[in-house]
Amino acid sequence: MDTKEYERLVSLYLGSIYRVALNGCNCSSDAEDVVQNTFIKLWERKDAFPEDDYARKWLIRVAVNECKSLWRTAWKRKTTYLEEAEREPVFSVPEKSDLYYAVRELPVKYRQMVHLYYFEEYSVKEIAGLMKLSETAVQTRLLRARQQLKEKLKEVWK
Amino acid sequence: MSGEEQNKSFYKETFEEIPVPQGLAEKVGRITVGEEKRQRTGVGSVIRKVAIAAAVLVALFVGSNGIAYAMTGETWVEKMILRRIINGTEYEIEAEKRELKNGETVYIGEAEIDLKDGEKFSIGGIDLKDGDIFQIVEPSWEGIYIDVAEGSTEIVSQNGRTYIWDGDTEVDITEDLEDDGIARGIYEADGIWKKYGVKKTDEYVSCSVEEISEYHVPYYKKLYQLPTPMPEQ
Repeated sequence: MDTKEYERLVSLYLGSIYRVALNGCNCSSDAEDVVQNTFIKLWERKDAFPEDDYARKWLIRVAVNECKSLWRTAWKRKTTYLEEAEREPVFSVPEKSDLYYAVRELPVKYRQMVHLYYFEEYSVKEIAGLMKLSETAVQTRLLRARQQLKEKLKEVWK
Repeated sequence: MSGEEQNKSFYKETFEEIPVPQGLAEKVGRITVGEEKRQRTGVGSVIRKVAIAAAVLVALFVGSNGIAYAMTGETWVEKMILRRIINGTEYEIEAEKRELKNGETVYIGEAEIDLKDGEKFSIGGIDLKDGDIFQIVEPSWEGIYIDVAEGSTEIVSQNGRTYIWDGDTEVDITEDLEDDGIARGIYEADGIWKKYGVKKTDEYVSCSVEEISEYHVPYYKKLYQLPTPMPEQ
């Protein structure tokens, strides 16, 4: 991949990939590592993408796999981050902050597919393909995640 | 606007307010000239090519029953042997775990596939041709490397105990294995019931996991003499 095209894709999708990584890792420092690994893979890629949306989906898939790879280590499963409190984002209204923390409290297996569904607007079928799960499993997890968000957020979440 | 559309809109607005950390764009931009690139050329890229080939194989063969894992003390699974019959011939693919310099973990394995000259052999959208060379035709496979944990099972020995890990589900089989080196049972992971059989010797651990229907759960509970929880009062 040439530098110009690489930089163009970085400017287009850095934010999107960071948010996918943050939802997958629940930790900004790990998310930064995932983002860097993802873009290293982009830079090493030889074939051009036929269109930008293909590039976006490719990047998301790599980022999701990087997150899964991270969670497979015993160290990550058993570690919590105490320094994270200093790096939390500030939102314009309290309801958004409530949603952010409610999502972060979801189990990792729900959190990432919630983000892909609500933010990236992936279909259940696309998420199933990406996460290598059955469509039924995705629907079940989304349903449970919605229920948990509803319980926590009451009127804010329909 | 429906409730779900409102949720989507609210979710998007919220997460769009999360800023990308300062310095991350610069770090990612430096990849084109930085150390990361140099580390991943030469030997690293060769390993990666093989890893991708192995990834395709594992992705294709992970559904096979009877996956053997070698145990090395208290570390993670180090080796897998996968078997598959292709055109009437059984192939054995041994994949070993490797840690790359960048911390990435890959499983590397090779197997020769005997095919006639010029004949394309296609499995799941992947073309294998030219004898023992794996050629990945589908570009979307790039970036996916070994994914043995998702949809399959890991055997983990940790702090003197042995577990089955399936996604977020953890089954402690330590006591079962201590009796005769064999553990059998069922568990539920993400709404899907599975039965497992694990055999442990001094040299290896073999494991098979199969999905079962909910209808068969009582049968396997009886077969494996598993306790049935009493209903809550």
